[in-house]
Amino acid sequence: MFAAGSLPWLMAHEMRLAWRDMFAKRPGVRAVIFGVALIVLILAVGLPLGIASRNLEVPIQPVWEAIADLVLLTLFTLMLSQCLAAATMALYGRGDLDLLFSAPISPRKVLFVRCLAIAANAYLGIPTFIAAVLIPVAIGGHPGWLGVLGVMAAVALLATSLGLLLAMSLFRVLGPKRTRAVAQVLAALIGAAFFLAAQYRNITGSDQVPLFTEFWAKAQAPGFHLFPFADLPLRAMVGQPIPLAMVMGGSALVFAATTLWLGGRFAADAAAASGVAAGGPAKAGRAVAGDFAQGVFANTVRKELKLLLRDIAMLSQILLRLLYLLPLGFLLARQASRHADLLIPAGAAALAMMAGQVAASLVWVTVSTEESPELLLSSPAPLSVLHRAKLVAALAPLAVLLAPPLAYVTWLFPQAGLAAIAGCAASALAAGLLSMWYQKPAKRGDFRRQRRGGQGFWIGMAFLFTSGMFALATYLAALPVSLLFPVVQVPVAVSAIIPLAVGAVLLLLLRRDEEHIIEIIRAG
Amino acid sequence: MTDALVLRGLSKAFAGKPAVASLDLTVRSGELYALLGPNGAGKTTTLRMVAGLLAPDAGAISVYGVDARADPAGAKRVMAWAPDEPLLYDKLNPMEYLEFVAGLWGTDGKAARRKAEELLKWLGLWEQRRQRCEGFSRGMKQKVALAGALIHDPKLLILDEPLTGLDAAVARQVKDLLQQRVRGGATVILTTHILEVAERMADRIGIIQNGRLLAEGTLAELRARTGEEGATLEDLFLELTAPDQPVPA
Repeated sequence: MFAAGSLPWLMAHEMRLAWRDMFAKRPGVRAVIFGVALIVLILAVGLPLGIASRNLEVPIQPVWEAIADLVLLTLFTLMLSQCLAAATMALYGRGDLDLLFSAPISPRKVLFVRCLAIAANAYLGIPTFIAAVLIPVAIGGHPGWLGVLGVMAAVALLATSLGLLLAMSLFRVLGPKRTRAVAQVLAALIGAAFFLAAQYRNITGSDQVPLFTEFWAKAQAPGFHLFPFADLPLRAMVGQPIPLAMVMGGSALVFAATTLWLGGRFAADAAAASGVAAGGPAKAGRAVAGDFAQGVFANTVRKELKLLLRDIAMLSQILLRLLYLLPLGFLLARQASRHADLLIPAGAAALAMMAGQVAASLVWVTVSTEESPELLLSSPAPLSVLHRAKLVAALAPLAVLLAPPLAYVTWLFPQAGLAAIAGCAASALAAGLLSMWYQKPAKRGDFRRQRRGGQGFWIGMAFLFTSGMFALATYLAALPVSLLFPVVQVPVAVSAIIPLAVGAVLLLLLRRDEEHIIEIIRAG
Repeated sequence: MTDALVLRGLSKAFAGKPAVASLDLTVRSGELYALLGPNGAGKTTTLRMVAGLLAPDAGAISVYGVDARADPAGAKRVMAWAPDEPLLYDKLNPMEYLEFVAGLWGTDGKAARRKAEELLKWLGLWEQRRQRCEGFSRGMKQKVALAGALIHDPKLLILDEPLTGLDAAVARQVKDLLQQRVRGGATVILTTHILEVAERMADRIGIIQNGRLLAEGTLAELRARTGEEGATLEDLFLELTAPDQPVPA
C-alpha cells in the first residue's frame, strides 16, 4: 500500500505491532468488550450530555481556564510518564532496532516514526472514549467542542517530545546503564506527581482547607488573573479556530523539531545501549562472602528480595503503587493524632483494601514471573516451602512501609491500630494467596497488565470481594466503643467476624492444591 | 549395581498425539548415554518427564532405584537437569545463583561455597563471579547453568542439547567436564544433534523416533545390528531414522 521504507510504511509497521500487542490475547472478546463499552458510553453519557448541553456555552473566564489547564496538566503528566518509559524502551528494549539500523533507512526517519507511535499509543486510548461522549454533544449543537480531541493530540505530541528529550538527556548525563533505572523511577514519580500533589496536605498534615476549595474561592474574587495565554487551551478545546491551530501547530512543530534534532544522536545512543545490554560489562553485584546460606526457605527469600531490589524497572512500578499508599497511611495517622474518631475506621479500612492491592502486585512479581520455573520444578525443594518463601519476600517490603504509620496509630488508638494491622495483614495475605493459587507464568515486563490464570475476570472479582470483606471487618473492628451505646457495643464488635468469616470461606473455596499449581507451572 | 535410570512403558501424548509411546529404556550407572533422534522424536519430552517437569500419562520411572512418580523429591535429590536454554536469573551473579541452587538441593553451605569456587574457577568464570548474568554471552550462561547443575554433586546428570550455540573452546570445556564426571562415577544422559559428539563421547547410544526406541547399544553393537562395518554414527542414524529419504534435486 505504501512505498517500502517510506514514513507511512514504517508507521504502518509500528501501528501493526502496537495493535497486535494490544489485542494479542482473545482479540474477538476484547473487540466486543471495547465495542460494548463505547456503545454504553454513547448511550449513557454522550446522549444525555448532548441533550443537556444544547444551550450551554462554556464561559471563557479565569476559573474555567484554570480548570481546563489543570485537567490538561494532569493528562500531560500521565502521558509524559508513559512516553518517558516508552522512549527509554525505544532506546533499550526493542530488538528490531538492530534490524532497522542495519537497513538503508535514515535514523531520523526511524526515530520520527517510533516517536509518532509512542504519541499515538499515549493518545489513542483516552480520546476514543472521550470521542464517544463528544460526538453526541457535537451533533447536539457544539461541533467546536471536538477541538478537545485536537488539544489532546497536541498534549500527546508535547509529552512525547519531552519524554524523548528527558530520556536522551539522561542518557548523556548518566550514561546508558543508569538511564534505564533513573528513567523508570522518574516515569513512576511523574505518573504519581499529580496524585501526590493533590494529597500533599494529607501528607504534611496541614490544617488548611482543601486545595481546590481554596483555589475556587480565590478564582471567584474580582480581579483574579492567570498567566498570559492561560486561556489558549480552553479556547482551543471549545473549537475557536485560531487558538486550536496555534495549539496543534505549535505542538507539531515542537515534535518535529525535537525528533529531527535528536535523530542523529538516537542511532548512536541506541547502539551504545544495545552494546550494554548484549555483552558489555555487567553490573557488579555483591559477591557472596563466606559460606552459602542454608535451607530452601532462607535462600529463596534472599533470592527474591535481591531480584526485587535489582530490577529497577519493576521497582519503579512497585514504587508507584506504594506511593499511592503513602497518603492513606499519613491520613490515618493524622486522624488518629486529632482523635477524629469516626474517620479512623474508614481510613483503616481503606488502608487494608490498598494493602491487598499492593500485596497482589508484589506476589505476582515473585510468583508468576519466576524466571527459572524448571529449575524449581526439577529441584527436590517442596513447592509449598518455595511459595511460602516467595510470599514472605513479597509481603516484607509492604510490612516495612506500613509499619511506621500503623505503629503510630496503635500507640494513639490501640483498638483502631490493632484492627488496621489485622485488616492489612488479612487483606495482603488473602491477595497473596489468590495470586499464588491462580498464578500464570508471565514476564516481568508484563507488570502493568498482570493476568491471573484461567478465569482471570472471576478471580479478579473474588480478589476484590475478599479485600472488601476484610476492609469491612477492619472498619467494624475499628469503630470506637465510646461512640456507641452500651447495648450495641458487643454486636458491632462481633459483627466484624461476619465479613471476616465470609472472606475466609471464599478463600477456602478458591484454594488450589500443590498438584494443581504444579500443573499450571508445567503448562506455562 | 543399581541402574541409574529405568523407564518402563513411559508414555506421553499432547492433544491426543503421542510424543512418547510406551518407551522402555535403561541407563546403567556410571555411563555416558547419548539419546539421539530426529526433531520431534520425543527426546526432550522423555527427559523432561524424568526430571519431573512433565507428568507422564503412563509408565514407570526409576532413578537409582527410587520411584520418581511415587517419590519425586527423592529422585530429584540425586539428579540434575540442564535444558538447552540456560535457566538463570539475570539479576543474580554466578555466586548468588549457585548459592540459591545449592539451597534448593539442601547442600551444606560450607561445602557448596567450596564447590562453587572450584566449579567457577574450572569453567573460567571466577573473574566474573561478581557480575550479573544479564550481560553474559550464551556460552557463559551455559557454563553458569552447568555449574548450577553440578553444585550438588548429582549422581545423574541430564543434559538437553548441552553444546548448542557454544564456541569450540567452551564446547571442549563442557565435554571435558562431562567426561570427568563420568570418570568420577556419575551418570550422564545427554541429547544432541551433533552426532560426532555422541560417537566420540558416549558409552552407549539410544536412538528414538516417534517416541519409541529404535535401537540401543555401543557404536559397535549398532554397527553390528545394521550390518554396516565401519559406518559412522551419522550413517547408522540415517539408516535407522530415514532409510529411504530422497535427496531433493
